[in-house]
Amino acid sequence: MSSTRKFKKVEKPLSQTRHYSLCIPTTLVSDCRNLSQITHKVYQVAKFASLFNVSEVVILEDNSQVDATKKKISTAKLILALLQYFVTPPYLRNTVFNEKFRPYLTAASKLPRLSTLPFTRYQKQDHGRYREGLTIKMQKPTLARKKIGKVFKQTKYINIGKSKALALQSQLVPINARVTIDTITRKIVSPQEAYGDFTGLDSQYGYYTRIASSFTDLFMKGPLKEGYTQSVYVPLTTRDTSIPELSSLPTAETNPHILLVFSTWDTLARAFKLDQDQFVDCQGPQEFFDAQLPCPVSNSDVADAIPMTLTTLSTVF
Amino acid sequence: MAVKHKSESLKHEEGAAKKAKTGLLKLKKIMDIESNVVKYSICIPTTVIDNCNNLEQVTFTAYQIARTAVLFNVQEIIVLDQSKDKKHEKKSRSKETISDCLLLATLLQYFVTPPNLLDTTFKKKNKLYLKCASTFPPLNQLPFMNASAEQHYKEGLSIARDSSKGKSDDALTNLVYIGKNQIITLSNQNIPNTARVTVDTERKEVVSPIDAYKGKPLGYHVRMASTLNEVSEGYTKIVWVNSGDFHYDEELSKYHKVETKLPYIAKLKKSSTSEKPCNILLIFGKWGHLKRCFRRSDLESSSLHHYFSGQLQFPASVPQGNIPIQDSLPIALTMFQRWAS
Repeated sequence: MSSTRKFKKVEKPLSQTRHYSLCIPTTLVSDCRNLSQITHKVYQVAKFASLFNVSEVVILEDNSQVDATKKKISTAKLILALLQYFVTPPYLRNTVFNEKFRPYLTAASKLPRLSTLPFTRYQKQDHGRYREGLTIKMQKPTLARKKIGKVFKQTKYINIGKSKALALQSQLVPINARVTIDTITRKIVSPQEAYGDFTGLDSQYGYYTRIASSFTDLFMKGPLKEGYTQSVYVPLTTRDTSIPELSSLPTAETNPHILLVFSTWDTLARAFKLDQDQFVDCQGPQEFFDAQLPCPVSNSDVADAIPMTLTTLSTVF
Repeated sequence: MAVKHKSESLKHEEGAAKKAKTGLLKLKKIMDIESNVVKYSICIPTTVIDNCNNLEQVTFTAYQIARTAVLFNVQEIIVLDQSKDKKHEKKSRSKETISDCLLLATLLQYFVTPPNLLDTTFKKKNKLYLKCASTFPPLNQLPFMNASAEQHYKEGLSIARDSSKGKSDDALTNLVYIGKNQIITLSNQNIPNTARVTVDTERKEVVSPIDAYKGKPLGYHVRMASTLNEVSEGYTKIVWVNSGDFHYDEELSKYHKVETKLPYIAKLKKSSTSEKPCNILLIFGKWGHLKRCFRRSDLESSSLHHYFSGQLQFPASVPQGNIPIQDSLPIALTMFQRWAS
């Protein structure tokens, strides 16, 4: 190991290739009274998700909840925006979140950054070799004045939060994509290459977020082609279900992707019922889960269950 | 092959050392708790709220700690005053006149105080600091938080007898305040003054809270301490949880002793020989601060790593040290809960 490396390596190989997706229902924030309480709850989820290297957070929309009329965006969207906010590099936040989201992010902007993400760290953050960027449109300068400027689908300019956009050396990339840039060679690199030596882990550059508006979306609209390897239900009620207890997890070599669903049974059953016509022979949501993993202490809060479950998964299995 | 495997370490005997990739000799240990029942207490340094900008964030931090502590049925929370151990003086949050230590202890106590006793427990001048805390959902795991449940049991505070009948030095009383100017006169019991008790409002007697609430968690006690000897009084097993140290790096020489002298706990060994529950104290915080705190404490141990029985290795991708204290709490307690079960 060369001693000149900027970032130190923390080798924890146990979970190197085991990926987790968390599914949280919008009931997460049902007991919150104001925006800052919602923000803090989501912040807690974001902190643990980044600590345990979670690669995806899915928000399951619970339609039974009547949204307060004062709110302009739905609860699911609010959670999504907040979750995304915490993994967005500070210098890109103004670009990623437009004006209409600002009021919802006031409490979030006062919170400390997530310390585990390489690009939100304070140390030499503005002088680092690798940076997160957002690809921006390019136009032909002559045509732009006539306002009929041809818009390219691809671009070589990246907004890296500095006064000047960075032009790529020889690559063209689609617009509005989040990329990791090597500012010296001016090339797009994989986050593993950029931050890999920072933590020694694959996806510790934040998580992806998505909203599942129905029960089918939760399983079918994932980013993986082959779907999730295993789905585990984390019960937040003491209701008995026919799902067997979790006995083993697939070994890390097979690169498994495990979906953890934190929910009360009622919420799941409701979501399932809305989609029932799509599943002809299905009795209920229990058929979609391989196993269940109860919390070590009885608990009914999603935010409390997440650290317990993730700790259990990485110590016991 | 990359080493420092957690699962492998279980196979090793007590004290067996394993060579890590970084060249550090790390000790592993199986902690013998000599009992079947484990009870936890935690020690939270005041540095936990150092990065909070306003009262609201302080309240959230305290709330998160309180929530986790109640969930895991923590017996006692000790707030360790570390204002003297910091190198740099912190900019104080505006509008605050009480110390961090008192503020944190007040908030922690607030979350486990039954609603009917709030007005007697907290002084008027401290109400200011509870402004945010009062908007939080109460900790429903505590049976006395919902007035509707267990109607005839109430939490109360014993108060002195009316002193108008001359000076009574009586340390005992039979009056119990249960909120809203309601006072219960116990039928045939005398109890010490200003004690928190559970009363049966029908039979007018003091009962054991464990019987009254059928083994539900009852919350924790809050205590303040300024030195480590005050913290660890009465505890046999003291475990350090490396947290709140955002610049921790195991290869730095100042952390050399932490990595080589202080064993990592690999599992707990239980035995049913003793009826007495084993009280484990988890101390959170940064090594540097604790070391300075240790120096000004009056302890028998020669150095800080002898003071601890061991330290905790966080699972999987959770970094050692570089984790907020309130977040390391549920992780640490889950690990102990899993080992103990």
